[in-house]
Amino acid sequence: MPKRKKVSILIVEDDQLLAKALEAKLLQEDFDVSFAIDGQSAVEAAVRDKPDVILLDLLLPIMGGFEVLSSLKLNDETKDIPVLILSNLSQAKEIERGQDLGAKEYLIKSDVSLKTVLEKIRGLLKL
Amino acid sequence: MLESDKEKVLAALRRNRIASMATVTADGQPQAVTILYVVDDDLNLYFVTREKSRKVANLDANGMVAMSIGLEPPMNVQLEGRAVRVDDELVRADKMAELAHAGADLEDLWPPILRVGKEGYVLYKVMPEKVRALDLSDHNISSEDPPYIELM
Amino acid sequence: MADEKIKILAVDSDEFLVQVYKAKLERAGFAAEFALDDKAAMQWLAEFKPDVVLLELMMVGGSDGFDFLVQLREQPDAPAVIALTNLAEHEDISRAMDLGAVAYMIKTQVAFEQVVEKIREITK
Repeated sequence: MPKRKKVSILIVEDDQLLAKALEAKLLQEDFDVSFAIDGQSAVEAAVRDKPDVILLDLLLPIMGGFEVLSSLKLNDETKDIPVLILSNLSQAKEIERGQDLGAKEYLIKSDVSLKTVLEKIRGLLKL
Repeated sequence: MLESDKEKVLAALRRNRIASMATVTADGQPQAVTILYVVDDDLNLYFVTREKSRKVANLDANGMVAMSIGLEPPMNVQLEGRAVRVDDELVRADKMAELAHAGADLEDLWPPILRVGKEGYVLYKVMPEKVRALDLSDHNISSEDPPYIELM
Repeated sequence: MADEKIKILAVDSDEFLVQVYKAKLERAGFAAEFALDDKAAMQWLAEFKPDVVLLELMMVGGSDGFDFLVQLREQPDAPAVIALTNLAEHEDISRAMDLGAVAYMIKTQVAFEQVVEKIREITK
């Protein structure tokens, strides 16, 4: 009988310390976790691994978060993967842009705890 | 300093009884210890130690100390200041009594100073020159403003 | 009539320790005072009339705990004495018990909670 597949999260975040903290929290909750530290590898990882959820920072090297989001939504293989933006950018126009580009949630780092991020991920998976 | 900030820091200092404290040896090496302390309304801290301890030797050469107090929310307090011996009989009696009460308050800890050393006690007063407090109550991932209050 | 608290006098030349005793005893529901030498202890005896004395036999500064025990025995309505001391030789223990101590507790062997238990036991 096949083992139940764990839910996989792709964390796209160039802040190593934060990425590790997010990973620790998600592993505790029995998720599978993978990383990308720049925008280009994020798109490559999404196409290759088809994660169940993508946690996306916006300020990234090589390719910025909004560009990553556009790429993901334009690609049939990745357009249905729910994306949760987790960013320091907090202006209304950035939030709007994220939502217009198809992000399911936009979380501002200074407004949320790790606990909240986890709750939001669980919320996304119920859909 | 803002009165309300000072009140917050005082409240945090009064909530705790134990501090980490660093002194410096004569040749500039830091040493850290854990001490029982009490605080007065002007943010001066008092602690008692044994005459022959390392910290007394250090303080005789260099009176500067650095302290870090409190790891639980809401606040961690960091300060640097000067430690001086208290010889005034009345102040000494008063503060020793206060420290004894602070020590008796520690439910799971018997004050280590009572089990180490046989020499007499020395009472020190720490007069802070720099005080900052770190807000520990916010669990959010990042902050827009620095989470420090700079008191002095 | 309100329940009167049991009164404890702690006699020890260790000025910090004895104050910690007092604070702990008060938290445990006793009335407590302390004395750093036998002269102060005799004064408290008259004023405070303790039910129990916690006595360090080995005091710094000229007071002799054993002498004090002798003096205590000569008092009318003498309080019960618990030796609470660093002295741990058999002859010290015998001597103190012969001089009327009701219990002998060695500081390196007991936690303060046990001293409180002993006090409760002897004042039942």
